[in-house]
Amino acid sequence: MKFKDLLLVDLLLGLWTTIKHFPRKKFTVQYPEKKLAVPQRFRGMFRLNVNTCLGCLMCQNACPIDIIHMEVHDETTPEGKKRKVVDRFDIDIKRCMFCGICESVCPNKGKMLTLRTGSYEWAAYERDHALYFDRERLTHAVDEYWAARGGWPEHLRPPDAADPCACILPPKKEDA
Amino acid sequence: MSPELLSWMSPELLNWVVIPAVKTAVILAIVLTIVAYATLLERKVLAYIQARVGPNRAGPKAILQPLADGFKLMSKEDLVPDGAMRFLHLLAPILIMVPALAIFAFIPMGDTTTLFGLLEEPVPIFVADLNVAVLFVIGFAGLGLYGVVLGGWASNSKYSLLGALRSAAQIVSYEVPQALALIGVLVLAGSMSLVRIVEAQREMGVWFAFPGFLAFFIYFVCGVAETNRNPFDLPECESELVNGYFTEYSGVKFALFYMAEYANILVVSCLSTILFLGGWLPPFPSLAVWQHLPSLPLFWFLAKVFVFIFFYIWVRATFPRYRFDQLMGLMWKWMLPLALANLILLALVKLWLLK
Repeated sequence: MKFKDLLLVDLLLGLWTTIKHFPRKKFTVQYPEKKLAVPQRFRGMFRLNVNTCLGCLMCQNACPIDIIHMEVHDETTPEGKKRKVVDRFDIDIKRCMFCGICESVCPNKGKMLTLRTGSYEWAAYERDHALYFDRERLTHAVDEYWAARGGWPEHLRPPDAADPCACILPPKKEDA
Repeated sequence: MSPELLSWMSPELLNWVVIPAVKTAVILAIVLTIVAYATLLERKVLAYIQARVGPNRAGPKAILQPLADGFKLMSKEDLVPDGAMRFLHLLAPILIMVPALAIFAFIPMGDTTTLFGLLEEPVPIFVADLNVAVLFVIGFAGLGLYGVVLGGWASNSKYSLLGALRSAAQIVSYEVPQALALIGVLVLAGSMSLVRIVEAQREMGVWFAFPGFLAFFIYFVCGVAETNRNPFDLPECESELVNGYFTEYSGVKFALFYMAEYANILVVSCLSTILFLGGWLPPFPSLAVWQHLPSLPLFWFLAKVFVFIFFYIWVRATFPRYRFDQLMGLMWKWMLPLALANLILLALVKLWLLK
């Protein structure tokens, strides 16, 4: 026991340490009113543009847990060119870990399957709305997400975001 | 109050029933409001010290938060665990709350007031000026232990029981130095009436915290133990005993325990203010300046109490919890000799310095 201990210097130093933080600036972001802008690399929900899809199934094969389900059929355009039409493009979102491999193997990179949409508010009231995304929802959901929030942020806007074709889906085989 | 308005009452009825009843209601309202807002203050201050924002949703600046908490707790189910003693389980929160509130009957928040000239005769701002108020306060503060021990025993839960046992171990260790520290003040003031103690500080022109700084320190440390607060919150310590003696409580009973904790903080803060910081007197009451300024008894009193409450929260945000053998060691090996030495010191001070 030293003399210094008797004067409770350590306790006073402790009190000083805590009170120093009292007037400090608070870092809390009041979430629903204020939102953090996500960095560009942030992986949000998928956005799909089936019109530019080659139907190569690269993403389906690359997916490490096989949660991308695709069905394609061949078609001949009026000009006589052969192309593949995507009938089914489902992603089982509830199992997705957002590793981004599907996006990185896509030969049409950045135009067809995009993860960097900056979207993160995907809470849903319906069970199905958050678990499984089919071709239609993958196409529309992110666009609607940003439309509800006053349009795409410039640094995230995909090149075809203004393209109205992005929202018109080619007919499926059984429809044709 | 004009005489015509109250003329139908006999003076006995007025003086012995009506005025005390009104005062009791007013003081109870003040105390419960302070208690409710002390919870909010605690959450806010803790949050600020931890670089958070704290509650800010219920009303502007969260001023409705205590109300929201109260409604939440009142609407909750009142659970009684299997094998609990139902009657004692119900009795415990009452036993802890009633003494905490009863003490306020003897706590003078100021000398007299005319309510800004509303009343013809000045009315004292306390319900009763008991000549043995200090004894009464110590006794009632000890009664609160019954609530803790009974609550822990009746809950039929090992956490509650351990909390109750610790509380019993704690009270035997802190009460002795605490009482000895108070005796030092009684020696200085020469009276056990809380009003007289403040008056004595006015007459001597010095707060008792200056001659009795040791007593002040001991009383405050023991007061922290008395209110089961950090760093002596062994009976409840949430990291070991969940919530100690009130683990098994919910709803209104939980609210009573919770409020009793803050009511006890308020009791200790008020007593520290009265005994050591001159109650409603301004700082350095003998200065000539105060003759020319309006005396604001309630303001000075509440300001000092607020400082104490803030310090309580500040201490909670700073210090880790003592083990209970450490607490007993601190109280018996350090505080008790210190309190005895302090008693002798104050007696000598009284004998030679303050006549």
